[in-house]
Amino acid sequence: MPDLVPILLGFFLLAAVLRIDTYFSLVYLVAAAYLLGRLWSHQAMRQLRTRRRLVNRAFPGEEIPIELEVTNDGWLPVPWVEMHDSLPVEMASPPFFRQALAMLPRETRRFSYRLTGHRRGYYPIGPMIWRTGDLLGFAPIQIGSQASEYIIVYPRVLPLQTLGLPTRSPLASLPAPAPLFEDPSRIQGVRPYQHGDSPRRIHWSASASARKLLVKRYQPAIARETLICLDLAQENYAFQRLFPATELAVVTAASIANHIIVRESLSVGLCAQAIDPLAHGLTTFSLPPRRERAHLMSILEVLARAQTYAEVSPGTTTPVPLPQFLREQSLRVSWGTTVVVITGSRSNALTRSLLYLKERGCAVVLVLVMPPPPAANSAPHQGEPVGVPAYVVWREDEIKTL
Amino acid sequence: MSDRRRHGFGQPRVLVRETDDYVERTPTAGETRPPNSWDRRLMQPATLGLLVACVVWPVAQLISRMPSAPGFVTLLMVPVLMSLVGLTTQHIVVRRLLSGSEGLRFRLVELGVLFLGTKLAALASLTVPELGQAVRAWSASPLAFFDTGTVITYAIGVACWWMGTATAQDLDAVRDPSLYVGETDPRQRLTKRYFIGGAILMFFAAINRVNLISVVTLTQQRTRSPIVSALVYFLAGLLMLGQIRIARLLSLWRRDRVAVSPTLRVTWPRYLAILLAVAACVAFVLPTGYTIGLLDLTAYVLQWALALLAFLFMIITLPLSWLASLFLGGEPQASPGGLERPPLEPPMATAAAEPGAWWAVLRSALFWVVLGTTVIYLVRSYIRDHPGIGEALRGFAPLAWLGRVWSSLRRWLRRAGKRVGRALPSVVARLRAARAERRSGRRHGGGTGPRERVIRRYLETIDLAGESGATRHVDQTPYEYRPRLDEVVQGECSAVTGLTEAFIEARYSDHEINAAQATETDADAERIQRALRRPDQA
Repeated sequence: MPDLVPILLGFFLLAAVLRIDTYFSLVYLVAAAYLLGRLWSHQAMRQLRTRRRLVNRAFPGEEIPIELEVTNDGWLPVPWVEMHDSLPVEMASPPFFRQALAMLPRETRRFSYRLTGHRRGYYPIGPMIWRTGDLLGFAPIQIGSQASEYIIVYPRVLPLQTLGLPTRSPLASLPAPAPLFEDPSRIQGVRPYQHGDSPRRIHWSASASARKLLVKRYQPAIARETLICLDLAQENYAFQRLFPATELAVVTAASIANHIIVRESLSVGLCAQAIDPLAHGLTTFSLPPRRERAHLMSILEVLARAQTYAEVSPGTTTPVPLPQFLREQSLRVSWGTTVVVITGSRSNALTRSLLYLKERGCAVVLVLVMPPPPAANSAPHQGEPVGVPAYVVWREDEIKTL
Repeated sequence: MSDRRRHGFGQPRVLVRETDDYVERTPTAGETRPPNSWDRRLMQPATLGLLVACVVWPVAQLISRMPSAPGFVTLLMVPVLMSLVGLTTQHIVVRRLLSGSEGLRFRLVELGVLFLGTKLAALASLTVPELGQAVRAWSASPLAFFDTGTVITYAIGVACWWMGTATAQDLDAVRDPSLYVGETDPRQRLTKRYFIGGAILMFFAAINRVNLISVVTLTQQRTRSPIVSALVYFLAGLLMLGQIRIARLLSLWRRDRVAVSPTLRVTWPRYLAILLAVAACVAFVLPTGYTIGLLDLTAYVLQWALALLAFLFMIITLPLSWLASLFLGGEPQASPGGLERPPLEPPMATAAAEPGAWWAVLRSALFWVVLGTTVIYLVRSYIRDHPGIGEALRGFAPLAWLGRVWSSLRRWLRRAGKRVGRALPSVVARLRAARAERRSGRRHGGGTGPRERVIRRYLETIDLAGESGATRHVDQTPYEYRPRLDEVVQGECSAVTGLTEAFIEARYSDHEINAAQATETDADAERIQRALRRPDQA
């Protein structure tokens, strides 16, 4: 817009020289319209409040309702405001929400839209930007914004029929005194009361039924721990099918973790190197084995965020090769832990690392996400001669038979 | 003929802007233009005609006074009609996809026809004999066809025609953001044109009303009569700018697929009307003449301040002069030190002495306050919008020095304020303590004479009696209190009577109290106080 100040000054000078009352009034009129409009738009910007309500966790296929609330806190109406909320292209089409509205004093308006979590990921919602201005277009546009929020779409979790992973625990070779290593939440059965048994172990309802004192027998306390090592290095997967293969690897990891915690009530951990959009770079995720449901959600969140990385991604730290990464991680796991390695290819270095893990007392399983060899239904397990069972997964239904 | 009728029973077709040209085809969903026929066919021509009429009015007034000039109505109506023609034919040019030589030919033909129309309008005001004479003159001299009046009218009309064409082009661009991408914002061109038209209007209206010589010699008198055309022009123009603003926003939102709340279209004209009404009220309230200038106003304020100071000074010095008169034994002087009492009424400014002067003063004060605030606000905003200027100003040595002085002054004031804030409580406490001390001294008979001694002894005694439970009420006289004191100090009635009598004499008599009386009072007081301190009294 043309700069009004020189124009008004010129008109004012003309009015002062000619001494015509009407001209003064005209200058005042235009100046007042300009200043009032400017002040109004400034005030409108100051009194606008926005709020976004959403549930920032979802599973694939789930719809996420989002509610936007715009409030005019002041006593002045807002003549116009344009809102723009940026949305992820994977969740909405078109990837924005735009609305223009006028607001009365103390008015609150609510808008809602829905997003669909089609695939796992960590998606920014926003930033929301709103613009307002005056009625005549003399004043510059005022721009405000609200920070982005994030939605996590968990990876797909498939039900496993039986998880036949090998285990070395509980093993008798663990000379653990029974009271210390028994788990009171896992009752194995009952036995007659013996002198010296703690009264806490008495199974009162069973004793009442049997009319003699019975005590509970607990399962051994050291339960099997599982560590899932997920490989997301792009060079370890077939280039032509990189995206579906890595997604399948993530789904495999999520399904195994879900099965172990939910169905077996055992501990599971996760370690992986991946690009984390939250950290804007390559990150090493290392979640130690635990068995709570909340821990499962943490694992799923990590799996939702994790993205594949190239060998040398620009601007990131150099990733550690998978064999070396496995050796590093083996230092953090306890004896008897089952290590599930999920990757897209095999190599001698990897086999040596698996053997190293085995020598350290871990039970090792290799899950290969790759097309099966044409000659056989079951994979020619390169690791099997050295005692490392390997599974080949290439379709989602194959995960169920792990 | 409408598009639908022209194309029979097919789909309605519209003109659509393509990458390099316009084409006429069936619009897609996003390209459908909003129904704006009433706006394009009625509002736009009406507003444009009104604004052009306002601008041309003073020009026509001026020219119609000249000899051999056409009439006022002709001078007014021809440019207005030509501007409307320009507005309409621009739409035709766009609709017919005329460009290049084709468009130029169309325009030339149009201008020729408009000249003929202007000529006809000029001839319409002639009588039949004059008409015949004029026609005969053309035959004798063909150049007589182009008479001065017609040429002037036509020149003004062409200017208005061009304005109508350009405005139509810009209004189209306002409603279609895909037009003239990369060029200046059409709103900016319209606003600029609006102010240029306003300046032309103001200039010619002023020429019609003021004497230019008196303007040059600075003897121009104030013109109070309103210029209606200017008022209408500016008000209608602001309304038009507001409507252009919403039209532009709506077109941009349509392009960007922004959902528009239906209430926005409804509330926009209301808010615009409110804004302009408030602005008009402000314009009405602010002063429009030199009733009191800035210097007069400053002098007026200073006179008031001085009068107030003088009045305060008189109030302070009046008791002193009265006391001085007591000592000197003369009549109280009106003003000590030979000072004249300042007049209570401040000298009034000439303009303010008239009836209703306070209103003029108020308006003038309001004007300067508003002007000052506006100037400060604008300068501040301008420097904020142009950071380079701010940096240059900060780099300018004298201004930088002034800035440093101002900063140090602010720092000093802040520090001084803090010091005062810290010191104030202790000063107040000291003053309170001194005041309490003075009060206590006054109550217990400050001074060392026999009279003060008697009073002090009595007050000490009743204080002690108060501690023993015989408190003296403030409304009790010494005589009323005496029986109560007798009860407390049984057996010392004579001393109580003596102390009371001595106190009354010392407190209320004018004659001298001698030392013997004071000594006797001391003895009485001592006896009473001893009795009050006895353990059984406790």
